[in-house]
Amino acid sequence: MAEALKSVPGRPGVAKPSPILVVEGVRRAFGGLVAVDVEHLEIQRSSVTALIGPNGSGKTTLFNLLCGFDSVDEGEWRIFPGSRGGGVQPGPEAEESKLGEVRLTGRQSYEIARLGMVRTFQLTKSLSLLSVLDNVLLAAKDQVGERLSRSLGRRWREIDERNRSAAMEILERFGLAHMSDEYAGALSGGQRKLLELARAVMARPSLLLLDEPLAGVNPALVESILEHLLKFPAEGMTVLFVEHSMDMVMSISDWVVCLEEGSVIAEGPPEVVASDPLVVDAYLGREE
Amino acid sequence: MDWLEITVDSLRGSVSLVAAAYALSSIGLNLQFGSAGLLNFGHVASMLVGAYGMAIVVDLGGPLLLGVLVGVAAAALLGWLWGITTLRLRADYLTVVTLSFGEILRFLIRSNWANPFTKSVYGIQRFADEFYDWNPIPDGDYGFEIASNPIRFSERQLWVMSVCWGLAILATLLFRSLMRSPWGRTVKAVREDEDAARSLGKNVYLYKQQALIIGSVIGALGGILLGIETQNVYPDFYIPLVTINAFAIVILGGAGSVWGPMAASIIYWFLFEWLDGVINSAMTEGYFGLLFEPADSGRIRTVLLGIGLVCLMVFRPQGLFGRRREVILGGT
Repeated sequence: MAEALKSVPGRPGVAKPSPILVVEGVRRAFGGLVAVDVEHLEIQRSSVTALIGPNGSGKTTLFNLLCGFDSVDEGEWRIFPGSRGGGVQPGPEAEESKLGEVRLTGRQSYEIARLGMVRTFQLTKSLSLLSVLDNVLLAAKDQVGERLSRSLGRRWREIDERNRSAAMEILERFGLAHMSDEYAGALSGGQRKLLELARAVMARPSLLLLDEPLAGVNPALVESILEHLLKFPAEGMTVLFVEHSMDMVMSISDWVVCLEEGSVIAEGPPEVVASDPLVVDAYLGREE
Repeated sequence: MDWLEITVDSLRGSVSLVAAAYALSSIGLNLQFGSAGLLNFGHVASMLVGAYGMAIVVDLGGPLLLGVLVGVAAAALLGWLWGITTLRLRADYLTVVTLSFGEILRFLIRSNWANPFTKSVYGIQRFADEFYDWNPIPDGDYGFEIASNPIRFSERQLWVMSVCWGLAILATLLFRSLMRSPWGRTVKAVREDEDAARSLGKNVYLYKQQALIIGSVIGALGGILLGIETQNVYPDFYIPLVTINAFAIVILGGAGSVWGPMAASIIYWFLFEWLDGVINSAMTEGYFGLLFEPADSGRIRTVLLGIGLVCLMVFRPQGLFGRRREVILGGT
């Protein structure tokens, strides 16, 4: 579906053929400072979209707003989990997803995650005193044993057993299987980034929001993380990620959105955005 | 100084009802603090509402069992109230609110205004006769002697001790099952990082609320049994020091460990009695000279226990049953 983007003209707020996320008039000000003011933004399904912008341009704030970690002053956004959405089996929220569109405005962060929009953090949040395997198991959807009333029963054991093998497969894929019994706190910085990715994948999101997945990671690991990212769309996970380094963005993204002072100043295919004078001015120019 | 006598007396104290009630109560605190990371400094309030709930119902003419149910329900309500007032705020607020909640409750039941129900400072007595009527143990003295130093309990003491240790074992098993389930995994995740748990679809608020309520109910059971043993509840027993004792037990056992609170309570009360015995006989034998008066013995004991806890933190921060690796990796 990323192919469909080829015919889309690169200008801020442009409509996409099959959006998974539509953001409208989302605004957030801290006192007098407008941190985010996005008029219209659509994220194409099954694509890898990069969100770039200079420091303080509102990338992380936008992530926080979209995922319910901060509340908007105004605006609304909707997700279209769709049938291909990450192989997500419609959970308790199925009623709504059948309509094909779920309003996320004003929802709690955990509800948004359950609806298929899962995020990672700029500063990795590994759960240090849980084992690597438990970190991943935690993310599994629809665990009956997570309910207090069912936690003493036996039924969750079966489900947990299945989740366990799924989690081991994911750990295998991210090269962490040999550490599965180790505390997550014992992992290196790079391994924690991988663990966070593994955990997010276990949650089977339809839209994955990655906040600087490559920050502070050594070059060899960068390659490996990029490879993983590129595979996600084919598995039904749309990727939206924040990144500083323009090189990375160029090589892997289908579409690039550039923020400055909270607003989208440019979007389009990577090579188009990279040569956009506004972007060069705001971002690339400043780096030199 | 008769070391053997002091030691045997302390052994008796280490399995007494006080130790059992603290073990039970600390299991509740362990769930809140050790597993869910909720720094509840008003744990004594759970014990207070449990004991007073029971005593007031019986005092008004209700049956004891109803009183126990009311006490437990009041503790659940207390946990819920803590939750709705603080859990949406930053964690430190919970500490401040719970600490003050406990003191507010104590002063409330102490006030003249509450006198018709709580008998204010005088407290309520003799509300647990029914409990002793249920005692299946025949009258007598039970126990044994170690080199002619007796460890003996009356049938009454033995009955209330058995019930309390039995409940402590049940609560420990419940704690273990809960923490091994996906529910426990999520609670630990919430303790480690709330935002990470949220980003994976966990309703953090609900889990913390549940941990507070269960912990409060278990804590109340400890308070109820302490009340039953003494047949006396009065406000000034429920001072913050009780919470501190419970924390000392949880930390000594190893926060979050399964058998820690029970084992630690036994050890803690053994040391408590032992130091008491040693200090008192040192007093009577005049080792302290004019330096201290007999009335100081309690204070000296508290100071020594405090020093002991500091040493524990320095040399074995994970407690007796905790994992050292968790302490090293914690906060990374």
